[in-house]
Amino acid sequence: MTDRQWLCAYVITRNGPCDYGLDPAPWLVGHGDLGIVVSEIEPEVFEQIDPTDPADGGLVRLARRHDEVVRAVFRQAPVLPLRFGTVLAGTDAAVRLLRRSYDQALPCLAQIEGHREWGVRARLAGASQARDDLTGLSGTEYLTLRRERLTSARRSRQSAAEAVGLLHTALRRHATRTAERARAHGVLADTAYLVCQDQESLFHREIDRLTGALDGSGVRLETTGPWPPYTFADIELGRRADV
Amino acid sequence: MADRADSLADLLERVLDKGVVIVGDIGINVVDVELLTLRIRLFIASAQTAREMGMDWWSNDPYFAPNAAKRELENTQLRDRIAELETALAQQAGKELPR
Repeated sequence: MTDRQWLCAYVITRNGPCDYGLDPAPWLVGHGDLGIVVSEIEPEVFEQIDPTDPADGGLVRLARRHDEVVRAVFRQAPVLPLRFGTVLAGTDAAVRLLRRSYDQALPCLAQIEGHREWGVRARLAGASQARDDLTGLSGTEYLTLRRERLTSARRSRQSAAEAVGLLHTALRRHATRTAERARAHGVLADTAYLVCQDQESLFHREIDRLTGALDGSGVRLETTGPWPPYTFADIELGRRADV
Repeated sequence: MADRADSLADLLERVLDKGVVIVGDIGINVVDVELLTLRIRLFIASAQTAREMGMDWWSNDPYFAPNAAKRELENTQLRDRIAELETALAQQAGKELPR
């Protein structure tokens, strides 16, 4: 064991007062106009995470704490959320990071100011179909039926994909940035939209307007958010060359 | 309205998958986020498949779906309200019968 202080780092934000109303309270290490919000941590706590069990209690607790701090800061100032599990070797390392990434982080922070992230996921509704009664069908009849079923499924997918394309075109108009997220099975699109707060009502009105039309095309929409701009904090900081 | 779907799975996926990455000699990586993200995705995919097969116990579990508890409460309130209205109707009918 060493007596070195380890800091769990949550977000890069503007330098300023930092009362977030959390317990335990994180604090802000500042440098110029930038700050990094941290709290002391024993790196061993991350060893409690069981990587074979995603719903493991240790992971859930740490991820919730991370999100709680990010959201608390985000309520007061623009944030660049750091990747979960970022640990720095004390206050000196935090200042060094801010110094090295200053010119890169400051404009990124300005770009996302006043924005929130929304997730829109479109999936095929009613994927499971009732099974056909195949009793008494000849081989040819079965193959004909099968071909009809496959053609109809392909048409449904095409029409759903077109409807999702229209949705994206409509929503993109109200977003400053968009990003496709990894899609799970049966998901047609999983898109993150970075929306300026003065565009949010238009953005949601568009979703409401298109939900009915999408329903007719066999597409079910799910929205998540508002999120701090997790998906749009897609930069690397800290390289020595940045100095 | 589109369904609201914030869940633990969404939170984990966002928190683990994205965010500013510290490179070089300043930060240390204490978590294999790539491995965790992959596992979360597999978990979500298998959860979705199970849901399609009708095995969706977690969608009513407050731990996995925070809105479930609220829905349960709303359902209870609605059931109570229906019972109240039915009683009122029955009383009304009772009053009108003698006429």
